[in-house]
Amino acid sequence: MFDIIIIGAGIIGCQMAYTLSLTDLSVLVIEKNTEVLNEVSSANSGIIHTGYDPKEGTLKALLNAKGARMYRDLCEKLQVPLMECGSLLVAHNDQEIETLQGIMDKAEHRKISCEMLDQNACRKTEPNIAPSIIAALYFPTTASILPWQMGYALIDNACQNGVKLHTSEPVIKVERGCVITVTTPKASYQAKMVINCSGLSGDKVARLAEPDYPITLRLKKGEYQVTDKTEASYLNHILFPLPTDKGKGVLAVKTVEGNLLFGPNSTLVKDPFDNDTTPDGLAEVNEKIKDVIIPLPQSRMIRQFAGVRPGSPTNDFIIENHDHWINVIGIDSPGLASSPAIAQYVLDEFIVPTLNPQPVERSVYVHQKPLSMMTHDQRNALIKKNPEYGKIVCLCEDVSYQEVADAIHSPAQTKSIKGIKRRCRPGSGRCQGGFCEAKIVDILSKELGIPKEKVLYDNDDSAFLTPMEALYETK
Amino acid sequence: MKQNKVLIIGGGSAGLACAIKLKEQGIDDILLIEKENELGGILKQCIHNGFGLTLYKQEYTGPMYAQLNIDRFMALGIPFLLNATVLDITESKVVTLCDPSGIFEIQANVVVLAMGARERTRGNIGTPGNRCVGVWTAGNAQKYLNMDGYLVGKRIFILGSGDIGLIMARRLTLAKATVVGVAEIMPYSNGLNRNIVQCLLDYDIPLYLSTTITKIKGDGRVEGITLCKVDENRQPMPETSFDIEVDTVLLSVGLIPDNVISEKAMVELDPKTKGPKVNSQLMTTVPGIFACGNVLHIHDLVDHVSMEGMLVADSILTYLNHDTDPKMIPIRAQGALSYVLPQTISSESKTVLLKYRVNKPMKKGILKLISNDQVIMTFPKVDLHPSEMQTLQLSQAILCKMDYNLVVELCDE
Repeated sequence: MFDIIIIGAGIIGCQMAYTLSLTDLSVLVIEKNTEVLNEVSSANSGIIHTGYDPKEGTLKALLNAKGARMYRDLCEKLQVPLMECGSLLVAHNDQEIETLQGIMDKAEHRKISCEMLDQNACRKTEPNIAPSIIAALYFPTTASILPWQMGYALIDNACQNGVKLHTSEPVIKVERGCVITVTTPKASYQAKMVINCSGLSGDKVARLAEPDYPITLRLKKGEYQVTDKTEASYLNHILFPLPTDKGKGVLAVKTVEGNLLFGPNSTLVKDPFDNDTTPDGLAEVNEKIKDVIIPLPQSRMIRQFAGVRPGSPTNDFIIENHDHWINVIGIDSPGLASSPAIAQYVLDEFIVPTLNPQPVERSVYVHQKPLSMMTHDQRNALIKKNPEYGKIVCLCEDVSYQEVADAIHSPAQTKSIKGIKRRCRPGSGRCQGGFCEAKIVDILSKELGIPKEKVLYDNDDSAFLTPMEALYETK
Repeated sequence: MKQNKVLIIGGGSAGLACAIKLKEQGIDDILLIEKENELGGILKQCIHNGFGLTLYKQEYTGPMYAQLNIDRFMALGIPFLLNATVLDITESKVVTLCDPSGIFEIQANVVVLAMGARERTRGNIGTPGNRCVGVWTAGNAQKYLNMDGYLVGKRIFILGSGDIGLIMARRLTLAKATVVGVAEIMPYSNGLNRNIVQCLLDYDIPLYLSTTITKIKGDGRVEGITLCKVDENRQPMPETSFDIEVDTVLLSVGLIPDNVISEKAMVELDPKTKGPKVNSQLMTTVPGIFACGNVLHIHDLVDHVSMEGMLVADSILTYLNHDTDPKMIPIRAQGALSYVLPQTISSESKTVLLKYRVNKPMKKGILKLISNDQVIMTFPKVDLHPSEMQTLQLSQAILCKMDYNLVVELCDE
């Protein structure tokens, strides 16, 4: 019996788990994928929006600005890289400048600092900005973050603080009585309260608890191009076109690691797991990016990806308590920026009145920072202790054997090649795993004590190697 | 700081050949750096035969060819480091290395870039579709199969008709996988003709020309692909699309010289070859930094890689013994050529080996050597193919006629 079960370990579930782990409540997180942060949270723009955009009176307006302001402290505490690079909201004509002025008023009203830049100032601060841009509104506090870095720090700390994490367990049944029983193919669990943070499956899981739950999520797919890190100096800020009804538009984003992201477009989809990139979608991104930046050729791209965003029909977050069953769904943009405030809101509004949790002092778990970010002296000290820190397995991203091993054994653990890639970057560089993937298979096999044919690429059904002996035996 | 006269980055065919030749000519102060845990480079995984015909007049497998060079290298007692990665290199040739003993710096007089190439990826060409498991570069699948003993799939389609893809089509068939076909976006194959015959035709594997993959389908694992004919601008024609069920897609869509380290040393790169710009001594734009093998330009035969390593060794001897600053004459490619190497010719060169590739298949053509708008030599050429590097030896008699504004041009008859 737990006090609380959290369904879903995306960025919302991880924030929730971390926030609750600072109390005396007992918490179980159930995740259907092998790896946490595997869906919406691993395929978005990674921006901490300041909060000028959401409509007044909405949960988005309340929680975005608040969440954004919580990030700096949270990142400092958990040692997660946050790049406050600022953003430019650009205008191509007088009418758009007028719109910018309206946004400026709204931002100032919300106490979000911003400044209007003329064409020259735009060029000076962003040399590769699209030539058609004549002005921009500069938001100095917009920041870039890798959502999974934040998420891993949260869930590692939560686990360290005693939260239980069960992965590879989809919820298939919910029974409600004086306690709530949640069933997966492996087991049944009971809790006083359940928080549904199941992202793309949010409405489906809500209907397990309440069969006639009326809301169906509005799913929007966005496709992206990713450049090599060698292009890092091509862009200084995050560049936004003016927002439309469809969303924030096709952006140019610099990531914490130096890759640039171009995207997303926005297409309504029915299947929440349709994360295919398409010729039309990529063409649209390639075309629309020209509105904010001088484009780069395809040969400079190292990857394309698509992510589905689970929006709500009202275009606002859905955060509601139905008799100890709490839905936190419809969390699309600015969900990442809002996430710390969402977790706090759920705690204050719904959990405190019911379970009266008491705060508990916890030490902070900080995962060792990447060796590539250390001084040579710091690295040498580590290598002296363990020579495996001196064995580089990923050249593109400068990652050592032991860093991969450490990632596997971190508090929330990592079992797949995709998880390793997100945790410590092998496979996310220009060779896209061509040089390092076989080495990562090797390390996973050794550290987990499993044969290579059992090593997972992603989910539990994703082992991909067949030993040659097995082939010949079948003859 | 430790000092070395010659630091060679890369223990593959180019680096080994260079080191051996240097040592044989009396240079002792050499250090060769290898990032893997053994010498030999990519040949170790190329277990097929066909290597060595040009240089040794004998046919070896990749591992045999590599071992031949490793044995000579070891017999000469040349110092080397394994599991050592170059983290940084400066224009003044201070090289920062990391290995299991720690991070350290070496000041070198001469640096040889011999890091080889990497494979072009799905991201580089932007193949749309799902990102599930089941898509690899052909070389990566080759490593899993030939080095580790594992197959990555059972029903396989290969995109791109580069040599690695063709070799893998045969290898996978022999390993009891089904290779359903090979698609090439160009109207001609990009592999050596012998590989088309021996790896595809001999095994009845269809080659779809002017065709590309427009969608990779899957949910957790690749389930199929959509193939589509392309027009003369390489744009897919949707009305021609058809689906094939496969569980694996291998990409053999080209190699790219791996010049991340070179760029740190401020070596200037040629956008055509994607390797360093070099003079006829194979010295880059940074004095004392030389390049050879696939890091310089992509080769189709390892023999030429070894020969380039040896040429660099000769050049280093000259560089170390003479403090000359010869006049450099730029040379450029024109007409049906995609590039010519080197990019500049030293006025002091006695002979120069020009290397070039055509940018389209040609049955017949005339290669012209032009200096200052005057055609100084013409060479009739037959059966030219983009997949086959061509060479042209310039003798001193020709070189002394060459003045400035040098052009190599290939035109139709």
